Amino acid sequence: MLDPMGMVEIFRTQVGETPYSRLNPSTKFILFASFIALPLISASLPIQIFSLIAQVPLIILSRSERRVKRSLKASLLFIVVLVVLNYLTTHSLEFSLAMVLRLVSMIIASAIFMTGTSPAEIGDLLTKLKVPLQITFSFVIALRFIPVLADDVVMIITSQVSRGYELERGGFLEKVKRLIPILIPMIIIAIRRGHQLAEALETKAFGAIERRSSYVVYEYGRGDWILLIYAIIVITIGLVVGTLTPQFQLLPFRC
Amino acid sequence: MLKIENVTFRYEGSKRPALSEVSLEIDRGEFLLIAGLSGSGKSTLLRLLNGLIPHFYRGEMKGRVLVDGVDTREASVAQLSKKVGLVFQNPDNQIVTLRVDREIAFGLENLGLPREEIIERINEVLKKLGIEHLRKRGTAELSGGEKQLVAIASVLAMKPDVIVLDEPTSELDPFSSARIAKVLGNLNREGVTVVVAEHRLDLFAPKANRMIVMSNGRIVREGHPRELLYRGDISLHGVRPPSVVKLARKYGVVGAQPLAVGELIVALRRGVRIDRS
Ligand SMILES: Nc1ncnc2c1ncn2[C@@H]1O[C@H](COP(=O)(O)OP(=O)(O)O)[C@@H](O)[C@H]1O
Ligand SMILES: [Mg+2]
Repeated sequence: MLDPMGMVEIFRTQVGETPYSRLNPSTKFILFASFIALPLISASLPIQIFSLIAQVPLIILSRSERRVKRSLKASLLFIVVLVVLNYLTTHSLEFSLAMVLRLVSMIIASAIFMTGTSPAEIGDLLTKLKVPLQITFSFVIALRFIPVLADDVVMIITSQVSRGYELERGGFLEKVKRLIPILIPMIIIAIRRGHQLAEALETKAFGAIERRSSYVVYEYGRGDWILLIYAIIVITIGLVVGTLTPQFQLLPFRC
Repeated sequence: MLKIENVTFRYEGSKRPALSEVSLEIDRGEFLLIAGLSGSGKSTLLRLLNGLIPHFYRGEMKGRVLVDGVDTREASVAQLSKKVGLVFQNPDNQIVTLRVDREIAFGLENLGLPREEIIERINEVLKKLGIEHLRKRGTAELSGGEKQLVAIASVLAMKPDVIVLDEPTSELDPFSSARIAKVLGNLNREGVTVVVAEHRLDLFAPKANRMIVMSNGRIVREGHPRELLYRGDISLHGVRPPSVVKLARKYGVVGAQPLAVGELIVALRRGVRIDRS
């Protein structure tokens, strides 16, 4: 009945390009921000239902229908449990439903953004948001070195184990202690890599001038404009529905 | 073009100097091969050429290094990067971006070149190295040899007068190593000055027009690779001549001084023909 892999299926990286992934990263980010903000406008059930429905075009553009469906199906039991638990504390079925739908809707928005935007695009986005180069660059470098360091860990473990080292033995404290012969070489290797990386950066004139030029440029196509207008419309409707109809309003924190 | 004048360098924290009274001149168009045991000072010598020493590594330096007449102490590593490009041993530690074309663009962006120029240089250098098909590939998914080619491409794109490589094949398989040697040979023929520290003498000696042997921080031998490798005394410094040299000795064709397998075959054929007549 429980299918944890199915539940997180929605976050599985999409292979290949989709109409969504080809959008300007800024557009994707604005859509993402809009669909995170929308369910937060109010806690009313109509807003939550509207947030979900308004995301359907994005689900289709990012070719995530199947992943969304599978995740929802796998999470059904979990969702029901959440609603029931919520009901037990709030005694309002409508409010409980709204809260859970809000969660679902925000998860879908995050999943679409995360699976349809490459790390490099996120790096560029950060640059565009005027995040200092050091931080953006650290982010990209971190992503770049994850697979490299992962290989190092495997190599260290294999070589320690092949010398008769037993990783899994003893109680909790013993196990933690047994990690040390893995961690120490790991740290040394990482420091050495970092040093050589710094040398390579120096050699490539990193940080030599204030304003680097930029090889990658993202253009705004027709799709971007349409979706930006869509985001504005959706948020406007959300604001209208959320604020002008107090009869729907259910405060999230009731005494 | 590059001139090392009587340089002695000691890394901060170590007692012995890594280089002692080293002098070396490198001319435009040369292919210089640097041999020597590990710890003999090859990397230290190369770090002098683009200013990593004394700007990046701390220590005590005597003598001076001139790049195109400019003392490296007076210029920054970034300024020198336009003249001397350095490729390191481990390609994994010098690739900084997630995609091949962006990797090649990286140094050019740092120099602030306009986008059109960057695109042009990417195209040019990919073509030159025969790796156009890698353009949009993720850097993490490349093989070791491909990574090293990309590292070379990213340095070449900065259009240095000299490309300096520190054991570029030590992490590679024999096939990729041969490819790197071939690429460097071609570049040199097109006029790029190449300086390379290597253990694979069999691959690089046939391409080089000059060779130096280092030992204990000094240049102990200097000359044409044929001359040095057939002199026999370089093994005193831990440098083993490639097997072609051993075979030439064994079959008595030392006179032709072959370095590549092809040359050895030619020499052997001639030898055989003389025997028959
Ligand atoms: N970063 C460093 N700090 C201190 N000593 C170093 C450093 N790099 C190299 N050395 C020392 O300098 C000497 C020459 O090393 P190196 O130039 O790396 O030789 P090679 O490249 O021929 O193996 C060695 O004795 C080595 O231990
Ligand atoms: Mg070295």
